[in-house]
Amino acid sequence: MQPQQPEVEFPKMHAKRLAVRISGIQKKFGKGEQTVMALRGVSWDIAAQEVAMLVGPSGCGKTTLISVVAGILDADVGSVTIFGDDITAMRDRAKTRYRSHNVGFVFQQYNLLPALSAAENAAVPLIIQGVPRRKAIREAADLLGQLGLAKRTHARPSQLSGGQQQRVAIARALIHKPKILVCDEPTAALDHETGMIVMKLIREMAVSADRAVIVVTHDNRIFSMGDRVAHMDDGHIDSVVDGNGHPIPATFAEPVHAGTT
Amino acid sequence: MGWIAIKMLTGDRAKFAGIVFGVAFAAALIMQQGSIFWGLMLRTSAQIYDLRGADLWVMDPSVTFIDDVKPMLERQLGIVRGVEGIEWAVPLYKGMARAKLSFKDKATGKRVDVIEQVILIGLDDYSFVGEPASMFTGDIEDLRRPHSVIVDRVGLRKLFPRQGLNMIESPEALKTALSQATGRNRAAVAMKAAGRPTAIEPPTTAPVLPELEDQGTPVLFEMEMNERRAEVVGICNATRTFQSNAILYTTFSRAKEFVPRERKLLSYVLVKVQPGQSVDAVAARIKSQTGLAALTTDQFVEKTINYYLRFTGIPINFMTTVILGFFVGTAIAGQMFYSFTLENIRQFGALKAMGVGNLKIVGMVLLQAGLVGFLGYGLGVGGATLFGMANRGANSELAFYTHWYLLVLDATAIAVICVLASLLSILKVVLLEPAIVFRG
Repeated sequence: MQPQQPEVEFPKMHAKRLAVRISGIQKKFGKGEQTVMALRGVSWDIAAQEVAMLVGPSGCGKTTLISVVAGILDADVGSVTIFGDDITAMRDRAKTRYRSHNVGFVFQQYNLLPALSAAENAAVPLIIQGVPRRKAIREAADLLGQLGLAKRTHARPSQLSGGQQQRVAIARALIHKPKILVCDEPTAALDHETGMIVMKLIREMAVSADRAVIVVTHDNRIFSMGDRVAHMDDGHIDSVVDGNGHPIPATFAEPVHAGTT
Repeated sequence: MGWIAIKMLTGDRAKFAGIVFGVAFAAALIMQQGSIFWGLMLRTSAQIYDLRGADLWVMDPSVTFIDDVKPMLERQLGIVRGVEGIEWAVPLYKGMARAKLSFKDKATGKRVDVIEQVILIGLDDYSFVGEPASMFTGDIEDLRRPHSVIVDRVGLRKLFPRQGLNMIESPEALKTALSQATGRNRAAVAMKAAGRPTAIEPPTTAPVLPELEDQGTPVLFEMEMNERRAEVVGICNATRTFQSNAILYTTFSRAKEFVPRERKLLSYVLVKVQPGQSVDAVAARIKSQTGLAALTTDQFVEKTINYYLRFTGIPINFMTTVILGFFVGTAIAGQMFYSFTLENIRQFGALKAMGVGNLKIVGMVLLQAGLVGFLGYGLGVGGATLFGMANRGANSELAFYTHWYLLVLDATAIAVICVLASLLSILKVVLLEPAIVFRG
């Protein structure tokens, strides 16, 4: 059972465009007595041009939720629509193709390919889409320049600091202009100062009118960087607050269609 | 994606080299052992190839391979000659003989007699059909002289085991070395002193066998067979045989004197088919009219090789090594390749999360395995070939022959190794949940 959402005002939500609608997602792992209910009917709306943060204790279901939202894990019940596209209804191949064009990832451990240079790593999503390698790498180098890594485009990940690696990961996540950016603990491996720089970069580079940004984090020092913060516990969303800490509903009060402003 | 796959594979050069080495090791082992096996099999039939000039070998039908001589009566030669379509038919003796060589013991100064088993080949007295393909020194016509025999160069090693005579490349140096080994240099002294020509240098002391100097001929050394003197007047090039005994060529008549007297001493009849006649038809005619078997050179080679394949343990022994090489290669390459995949599992997971489908991921793994296989095969075959080249030559102890069949077989084995090695990796990445990338 999903807990009842608090009766609070929904400030300016209707002025924004609905990006992601998560409706009644349930997900369990294991069978019989070993069954673990990871998500217990989660519903959450995320607007475009916002940074939505998902916080909560370890094992509360954050990672499972963003995996479902990103289309890399199938939900048992419920649906996820991204700018009107119901990814839970897609077949595997369509979902894979959808991810390659519309989803960007920033991982806690960066997951850069150690054999590739910074520019080559950042170019990977374009290469996956079939963009010619040289063109993709040139675009990636330009983007790295915007992220302050113009002189490090040829460096291997092992030659970069943690912050620089995460900036390469951000470039990789944004190079193909995805509709949704999923960031998993993007500051966990960084010191506070570097973490803040990375979060500012995400805000500056990723937030746009046709994109949703979801950040999963434990790091309460960066909560202030979110436009809304959803607290998860035991497989459901406890509460949602805005950037000022004021409670707001998890979902829009009225149905809002994709593209509505 | 292929580019990314190759970059991933070659990123850690030490690991990449290790995987390639594993495959190269298997390829080299399979190729090397296969080539030695093939070389040995060719040696079993070397004498068939070396005896040229005839279209058919006629023999007792129960002969199973070249050394399995079932002697025939000499009148069979006449019967064969009577078959229609034959241009000529000549006798051939082939058998083992005991040669007695005399040496002078340097320590005691006494003569020492050594008995050696040799392969004796008696060629037709007039035509020398089946003569060696080339002479190292001397002339085949010298066989017309009394007591004369010609020995093969490789066989010298068997007759003079410590002198390394078969490795000497210059005929003159070989003659000198032979003279020192047999004491004939002393004969040369006398011959030179008498102003007679001699083939043997350098001269030193008195002759051991002074009667030879009367002939004034290039007798290189002599021996005894069946109580009869045999003078080696030439050295020929012959393919090393499986048994590695020295091969002595002489005339058919003389060969019969060099072995104990038997009623049947005709080993084979060599037949030339008349121009315009079908070899197969003549062979069939010989079979039907004489009851003997008539085989072409290739058929006789095949029969001989088949005998060794079926009745000796050689194929099993070599096959064991080849199979071992295959499994060792699979184990090394598979283990290293799988470990490489495991180390990159998060990267594969990230690629899957970013939208790379399973087919492409499998393609990436197969490309990596293919590249490893290609390089490993090239290096392995190259290494085995270099090994073979380093030990090549008619005088080489090593039997090494790389048939193109072996290249195909090796390539197939390496392809299977790569597929097997990548199978676990493919399973791993296909079943990989991309959500792994979200686990810290």
